[in-house]
Parts: sequence; C-alpha cells; structure tokens
Amino acid sequence: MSGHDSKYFSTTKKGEIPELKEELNSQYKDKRKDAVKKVIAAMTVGKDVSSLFTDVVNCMQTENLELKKLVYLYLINYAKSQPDLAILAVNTFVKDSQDPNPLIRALAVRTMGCIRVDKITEYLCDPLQRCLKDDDPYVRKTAAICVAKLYDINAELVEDRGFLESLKDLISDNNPMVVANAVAALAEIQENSNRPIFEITSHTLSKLLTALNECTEWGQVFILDALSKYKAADAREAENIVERVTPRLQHANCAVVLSAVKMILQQMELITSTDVVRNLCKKMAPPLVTLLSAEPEIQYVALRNINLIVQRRPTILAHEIKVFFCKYNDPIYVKMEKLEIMIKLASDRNIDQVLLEFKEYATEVDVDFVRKAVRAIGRCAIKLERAAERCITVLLELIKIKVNYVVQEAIIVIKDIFRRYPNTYESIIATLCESLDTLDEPEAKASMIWIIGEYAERIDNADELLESFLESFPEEPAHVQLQLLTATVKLFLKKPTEGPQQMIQVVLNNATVETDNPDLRDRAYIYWRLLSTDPEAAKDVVLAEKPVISDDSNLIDPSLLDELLANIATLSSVYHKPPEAFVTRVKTTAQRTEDEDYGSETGNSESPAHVADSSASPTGSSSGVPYAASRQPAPVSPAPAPAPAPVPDLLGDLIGLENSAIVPVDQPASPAGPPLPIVLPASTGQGLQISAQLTRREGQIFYSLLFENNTQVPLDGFMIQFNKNTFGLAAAGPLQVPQLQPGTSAGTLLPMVTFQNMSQGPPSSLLQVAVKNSQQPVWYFNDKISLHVFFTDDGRMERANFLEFSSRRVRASELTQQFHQPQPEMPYPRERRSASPHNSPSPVRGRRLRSLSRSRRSRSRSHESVDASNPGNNLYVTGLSTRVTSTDLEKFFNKQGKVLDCHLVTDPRTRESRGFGFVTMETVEDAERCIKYLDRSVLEGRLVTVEKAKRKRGRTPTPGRYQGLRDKRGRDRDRDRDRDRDHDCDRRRSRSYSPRRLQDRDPYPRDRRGRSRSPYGRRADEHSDSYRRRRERSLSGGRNPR
Amino acid sequence: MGILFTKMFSSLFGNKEARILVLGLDNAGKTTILYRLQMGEVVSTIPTIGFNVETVQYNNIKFQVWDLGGQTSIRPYWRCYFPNTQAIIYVVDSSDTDRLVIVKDEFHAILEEEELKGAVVLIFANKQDLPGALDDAAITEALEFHKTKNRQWAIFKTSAIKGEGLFEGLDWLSNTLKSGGG
Repeated sequence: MSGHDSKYFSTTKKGEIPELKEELNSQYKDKRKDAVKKVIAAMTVGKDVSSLFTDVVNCMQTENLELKKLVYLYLINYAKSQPDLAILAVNTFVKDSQDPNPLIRALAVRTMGCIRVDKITEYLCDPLQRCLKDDDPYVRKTAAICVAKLYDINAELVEDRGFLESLKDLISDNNPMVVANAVAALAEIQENSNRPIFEITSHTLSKLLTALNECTEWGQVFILDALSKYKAADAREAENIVERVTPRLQHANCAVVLSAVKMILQQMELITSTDVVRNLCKKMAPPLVTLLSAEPEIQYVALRNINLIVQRRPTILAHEIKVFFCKYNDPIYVKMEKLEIMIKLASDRNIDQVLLEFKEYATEVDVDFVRKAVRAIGRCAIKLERAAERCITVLLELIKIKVNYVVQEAIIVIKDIFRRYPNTYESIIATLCESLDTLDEPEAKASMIWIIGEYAERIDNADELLESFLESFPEEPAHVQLQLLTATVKLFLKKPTEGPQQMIQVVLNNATVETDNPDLRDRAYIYWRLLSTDPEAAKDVVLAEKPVISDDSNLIDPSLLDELLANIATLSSVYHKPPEAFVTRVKTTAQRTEDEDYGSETGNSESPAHVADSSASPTGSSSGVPYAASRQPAPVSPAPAPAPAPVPDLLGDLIGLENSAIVPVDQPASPAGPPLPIVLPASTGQGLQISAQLTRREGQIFYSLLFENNTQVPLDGFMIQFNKNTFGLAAAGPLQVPQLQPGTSAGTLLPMVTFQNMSQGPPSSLLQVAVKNSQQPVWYFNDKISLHVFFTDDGRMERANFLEFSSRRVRASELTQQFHQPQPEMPYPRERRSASPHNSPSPVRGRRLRSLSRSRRSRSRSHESVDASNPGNNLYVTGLSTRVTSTDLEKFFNKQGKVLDCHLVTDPRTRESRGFGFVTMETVEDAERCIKYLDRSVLEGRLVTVEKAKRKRGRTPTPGRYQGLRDKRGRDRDRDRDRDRDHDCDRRRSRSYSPRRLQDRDPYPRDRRGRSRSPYGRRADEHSDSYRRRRERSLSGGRNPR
Repeated sequence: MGILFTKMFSSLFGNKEARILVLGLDNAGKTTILYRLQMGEVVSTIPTIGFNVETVQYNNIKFQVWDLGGQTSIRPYWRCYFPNTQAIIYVVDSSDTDRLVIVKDEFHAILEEEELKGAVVLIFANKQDLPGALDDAAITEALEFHKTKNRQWAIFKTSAIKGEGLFEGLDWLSNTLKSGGG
C-alpha cells in the first residue's frame, strides 16, 4: 500500500505554464478548448502567457467558432510580441477567409487587420482583396474597415494593391452598411494622407444619400460627416441635399443629430434664399433643444456645440432662451455653459427675463457660478445699449447685498460698462466707493483704481482714496501697481495740486527704483519723461479719449469658428480648439525623439489659447493708455501736435532702441530634437560617450541610445545588458550599432520589454545598464526610469501593464516624483476626467496614497514582510489546526524551499492561533511548488489550503492586496470550523466575495474600529460606485460605433 | 445514455488520434497530399505560410495530420510541432534533383531531434508522374538512409495528383502504429 501511495508525491508538474502547454497539446478537443480559455483568462488578468504562442496557434484550425474566436483574441494580443511566430497563423487566416461561413470569413479579416506585424501584412493582402469582393455584405463591410487599418500600418501597400479603388467601388455597394463602412474607412484614410483620396462627386452623392436612410445610426454618422465635407455645386444642389438630410434631425441618437446639424450648417452657407434658411433654422431648433434633456454629460457636449452654432446663426435658438435657464441641480459645468449661451442669446426682447435669472444666480452658493452670473449681467449691459440701465440697476442691487465676491465682480464689470458708455452712469461711483474697503482681489482693486483715476475730477476725495491704496504699493501684484501708477498720473494731471504731486513722487520712485518689474519700470519712466518734458503733451496722451469697447470676450475668431463648425460633434467642438491643436499624428517616417516632441507639442497647442485668453481681457478692460501708446504709437502721434519734437525722442530712446535688439521670434528652430541626457560622459568612458533615455513610440517602449566615439580607434561589437529592476525592463533584442569610426556617432532605438527580469527588492526607478564593446572594458551606468513611458500616448496605461504594475505595488515616493512629467492631453474635458479612473494617471496617485497609509497602519500590528510587495512568493495558508505553531508551519514549508518569513495569525487576547497565516518563500518558484504540493495536504490532521496571498480580481478598481487579506481574515474566522467539510466550495465563494458583506458580518466590532472602517477603504468603495454609475450613464449615451 | 455509451466505447477502443507531421521542402506536395488523403481530391493550393491540420480516418485509426509549411523561413518553426509525434511523413519532390542535398540535410536534422526519437518515418517519393522523377531506390540513396539505425521506416513512390501510392503508405503506417511500433 505504501508503495502505491508514493506516486502521489512524485508528480511531474512544473508550474502553470507547462501545465497549460500540456493541456493545449491534448488530444481531446474539450480539453484544448478549456486550456485556451484558461490562457485567455490569464492574459486578461495581465499574466504573460506569450510563451504559449505556438501551442495556442496550433488550436486555431478548428470548426468550433468559440475556440477560434478565443485564439484570434490571443493572437491580437500577442502577435506583436512574437512577430516571427505570428507567421504560423497566416495559413489559417488565408483558409478562414475562404470559409463557407461568412462569420468566420469576417472574423478572419477583422483579426488580420488588428495584427500589426509588418512581416505578415503582405500575406494578408490576397485574403483582404477577396473579402472586399465577397458575396456577403457582412464580410465586405468588415473588410472595408480592415483596409483603413492596413493603411495605417502600410499605406504604400494599400495603394499598390489598389485597395483604395476597391473601397471606392464599395461606395456604390447595394448594402447601406457596406457603404457606411467604406465611407468611414475612406474618411479615416483621408485624415492620414495629404493627397486627396476621397472626394465625393455628384455620382457618389446620390449613393450616399440613398444609403443614409437605410443604414444603422453609426453608419449615418459616418455618411453625414463625409457629406458635410462636400461642397455643393450651387444653392440648388445644397438645398436638395439639405432636404434629404433634414429627417435625420429627428433621430434618437444625439451623434446623428449633431452630425446632421453640422452638415446642414455647412450647406446653408451656399443657400441664398432667405426663406429656405429661415425654414431650416426653424427646423434645427427643436432637435437641439431636445439634446438638453439628456444626461448632463451629453448636455455639456451639446452646449459646447450650441455655443458655436449660435455664434454663427443666432436666429436658430433666438426664441429658445428659456431652455438655457439653469436648473438648480444642473452640474456646475453645464450651468457655466448655459450662462455663456444665455449671454449670446440675450436680446432687447428677452433681457428682462434674462436679468431676472442672472440676479437669481448671483445669489446662489457656488462662488464661481455667482461670479460668472454677475459678469454676465455686465456683458449684457455692454451688448445691449437699451438694456444697459436695467443691467446697472441689477448690479447696484447686488452690490447692496454686500457679499464680498459679488461686489468685487460687480466693480470689475462696471469698469467695463464705463468704458462702453462713457459719461453716462458715473452717478453710481459714490455707491462703488462705499465698498472700497472690502476689496481684496487684485482684479477688483485694479478696476476700482482705474475708475478713481479716470473720474478723479468728479470724485472729491480721489486723492485720499488713492492714497489709501498707495500705502501698500510695494506689496500689490503687478497688475494693481500698474493701475495705481496710471491712476496717480491721471489724478495729478487733473488736479495738479500739492497732494497729488507728492503722491506722484512716491509712486514714480516706487515704480522705478524700488521695483524689478520691467513693465512697471518702463511705464513709470515713460510717464516720468512725459511729465518732466511737457506736461501738456502728457495730458493729451494720458487723458486722451478712449475708443468705445464692445463685448468681444469669449467670441471666437471667424476663421477658427468656421473650422470648429466643420468639426461639430467631435472633440474639437467641445474643446473649441482646432483638431491639430490636441491631436498629434504619429508618423512612422518622421525622425523624432518621442517624449520631448510630445511635451513640446502639447505645450505649443496650449499656449495659443492662453495667449488668446489673456489678450482678450486687457482689451475688454483696457487698463491703461500707456499700453496703447507703447504698442501702437500711431494713434498717439496726432495728440502731441503742439510739441512734435520731444515725443519721437521719448519713444525713441525708450522703445526704439530696444526695437533693434529684438530678435525675431519665429526663428527657425534647430531641426534636431532635444539631445538625449548623457549617461556615460566621455571622460569616464575613455572617450566613449553614451546618451540614453527611455522613450515610448507607437505604443512600445524603446531605449533611445546615442554612442559617440571620441577615441582614436574604431569601436564595434556593442552589447547591452540591463540589471534587474522594479519594472522588469529588459532589451527585447540585441543592440544594433554599426562599427563606430573615431569622431563619429550613431544612434539606435532598442526595443524594450517589461516584466522580464523583475528585481525583488524595494521598488526603485533606478535602471542599471551595462554596455560593452570589443575594444573597451564594460561600462556601467545608471539611468532613471521615467514612469511616463509606461503610459500609452493618450495618457492611459495599458490594462495589462497597470495590473502588473499595481500588483508590484510600487511605493509612493517614486511615483510622486515622476508625476510632474508633462501629462499628455486629457482625453476628456476636465470635469469628466474622473470618468476613467483606471486609466488616467491621477487615480494611480490616489491609490498610492491609500496604500501608503495602509501600510503605515498595518506595520504596527503585523510583520513587515506581509506588507511588502508580493511578487508571488507570499503565500496564504488556511485550515490550520490551532495546535500548529509558527515553527511547525515553517518546518512544513521548508520542505519545498527556503522560507523567508512565516507569520501565524493569532488572536491578540487569547494568543490562540486563528488557523491561518502567511508564509513568504524565497523565490516565486518555491512558492508555486508549495501551492502544487502543499495545497490540500494534511498537517496535524487537518487539510491545509495554500494559495497565493494575492487577489487577482482584475475588475476591482483598487487592486490593493492588503484589503483583500483583511477580507479573507474576517471571513475565515467564522468559517474555519466547517472548512474541512467542503473547502473547495468555500474557495469558489471567496472569489465572488463582496467586501460590503464583511462589514455586516464581522464578529469583531472592536477590531473593526481599527481596520474595516478605514476611511480609505470606504472611499475606495464610493469611488468605484460613482465610477460605475458614471460609466453606466456614459455607456447609455455613447455607444460604440464599431 | 447514448452519449455515455459512446464515451465508454471510445475510451475502450480509443478515439486516440495518431499525431503525424507532414514535412518536406517547399513545393514538395505536402498540402496536396494532405487534402488528397482527407477529401480524396486534388485541391489547388498556395504556398502554406504556417500550417494545415486535418483529421484523416483510415483503417480504423484516426490520424491527426499536421502539414507544415516548407519555406526556408518557416522550417525553423517545425520544432514547435515535434513533441508527441508518432510518425513523420517526409515528402520529397523526386523531380527536383537540384535540391536533393537540402532534402537530405533537412531529413537528417529531423532524425536527430530528441523529441522525434520514437517516431516512425514514412517517405513519399512524390511527383512520380513528372518526367525525370527519381525512383524510390534513388531517393533512398540520395537521402543516405543507410546511415540511420533504430528507426522503422518505409519509402513509397507516390503521385499526389494521380493519387498513387498514398494509401499504400498509409496502410504501412497504420499497421506499424497498430503493432505498437510508434
């Protein structure tokens, strides 16, 4: 008997991967299918199963559709990491693309498009060609999209093989879905190409219009988008097109509605008949209004688009202003947008109603909203001359409420009103002066000072008022200082008495000698010069009549507006930025150093908007004459007519001199990208200098290296090796550097893979590199791993990477240091960023903070080792008899490998074992062997369960392991007794275990205070809850088009 | 009940499939042979970039036949398919005398594979229908088969197009495998 039993201990099992490999090669189909499912499951949670590539691919030729789909899924994921082996799949693709079942044909051609491996693309052309001409429309429509994908991989190939022509033929297809997809594919190809590829002719136009009525909603969007680019030959044709499209305005899908609106707006430009235009405007209003009854997120998108539409065609919604009145429960971002549109739609007819609304908003609680409401009143006053008085009355009423920020905001807008209607409403200055003491914001202060200076002659105690500000002159922001300077000069010119004279001395002194702000100093010197040379001329300059302003804040430049209107229903129309400002197309041909380019490009794209913003406000507030004088001397020159000589002089020596020194701004930048940081200086490397940096390109991580040979001999035989590191970065291939002649340099891009040689130690961003060549000794240098290379180009992190990464539990400090890296453009507007908490970088930070505090707490009560990151060698042992001691446990596990740490969990009061514990093995292999051999083995008469102390649930938003353990503890306590009976069943239950139940059942209320009720844990729950809700909402709104 | 019975039946008599690799240089006729065996007809083929796998039932034995591409670029991946192989069908283009040296080298490389130590070898001297095709003796000579020991093998003159010799080869294979030679 004993002889027989020994076989249980001598298994040939080696681990998960070899086991899967065996199953994949099984003779039985069900077993193979099961194995593929296991592989896919492992792949989904982020395990690297790429080593099973051939075995999985061997299961590809099957009549079982489910299995086939799974294998295809695997292929899409791993073909890139195994480009050589991917060729083994080609024959199956070719076969499947001829399968009698159209579903399989389409599946094959779709998968082919997703495999972005250069080596095999050429083999896929023939099948694709066939599928484009397939009998089944489902296959044709899939193939159409595939052409666009292929174009992205290899544009030349697509053009050579005539796929573009085939695509164009598909536009005349009799199936509307095929037409829609062909249009979508062509539009996408066109976006990536500089040559005209896709142009709608009058022939295709009729095809498209016919297909439009029959295809699915997303197909309609594609067709409408394409049609909006079509330039109709004449007004008649445009009218015809619009007539065919107007029924789309009634569609339930808001994307269709917006695309139809865009299309109609574009064609309306051509229509001359005012009747038709008026009619169309009438028709467009109801669908736009309907959009505002959708979810807030959709409302926001709709409002941003409407904002553009009303700038071009205010008549459309002129009578619908009521729908833009804010509801109390609108999210703040919706409210802000609504206000903006209300201002644009305000007219003499509805101003009373609008003012009433604004006044109400100005008494709400949200400060930003209140400010915007007050400002809106001012803008209405500027916009509508006849309503100005009513607006001012409302503003004065609001000032009387004496809410600090309302008053300040009101003063800012009143200053603008004074500029718009000079010498009309000065009577209210007295009221304003009452609130003088409460001003604490620079902008409000500056505005008030401007008012005082401008109307110094009408304010009796102007000098006193200004003097009160002067006391704190050096501490004021530059903005206020400039206004104080100008206002004091004005005061002096208007009332050249003794008081102001002293003041002006003080101010000029302060603004020249005491300051280091060049703007202030320059302005002060100009005044000083003016005043000392010719006070009369100064008067003419400083007190000159100012042009009347108009409300142009938040108005978009007409050419930009045109572009944005052409992009309605895209991100561009939500951002109000042209697409090129935030979309960067990565071209394979261009030579560039990835990350720097990204950084600078996003930087550039931001700045114009900034400039536009900041330049908009000074014109609105028009703070001072000197600006005008210094920037455009022309309007000033007629003023100093009595004394023509000195003025050119003044300007000459102050400004003119500098002019010659000004360097042209748009100097061509040097073509080379920013240099790589030097990691091995030539002095250390005996003449060999190495510069290197991790970069990310086309979704893959590369190590960009530059070798410079400053030695006397040619160097060759370069090799590179990376030390074990936290992220497991390793070279994916050999280093390819040609022989380096003396005095030359060579750059190379070394593809990198992650999670290959992970170090077990504490996380660090250090990357140790060794480089050798045939002539010199081995050079070692350190580099820093910049975290942003792990994120994909849109700022997201690949799911697999993230899971792996978080399970490594990188300690916080490294992360925070890295996060100041330029964040690539956000895929969502600010308010909605939290909608994707998994992928955007910020939640990583949130998670990290939690894990930090968690480890701080737990350190006090348990072993350090439990907290440390678990790369897989930390085991969770349950089902232990209470007699088992920590030493017993260690002995038990020592049989399978070296035990680093053994921690039996005991009751703090009774010191009795709770029947479970944690064992840390030295290596992951040891730990896996333990699971193999010791799981379900008997210790002290009890069946022991051994599993990895790690939660592998991919869907959990916070994959923090420690919480997982805590959950299990609570649960194990009350089921320990019946564990023996059916622990198998228990294990299954544990996987679907919900943490919320734990809190209800936890039998240790005393403990709970310290553990379960952590605010962090709870926040995680709330977070995931709100995330889910958002997601549901956005899912219902934005279905995936393909 | 029926299913249960089938299961019992198949476990008794084995729906166990014999795993067979069809190897050889490109353009030797492997894919044509595979489909001739499976469907009994000549299909037009294109170079196999990758593999084909079909199940062929013959003489109460199920053969799981793997036809691997013969291009130089794919030959290195043959080894991915070696484990658990009971038999190899090595297809030689008898009319392509220029490449017989490569045929021989590849053949001996296969025979030396540890994982194929127990595999039975069946050689098809294919394309006998073409003029100038060498006969089986000449091919045996060219392959230097006399050097190999401890291996059950056989060579047949075949023409996949005409369907000659294939089933004789398969007869030999099934008999050899049945008698436990594999």
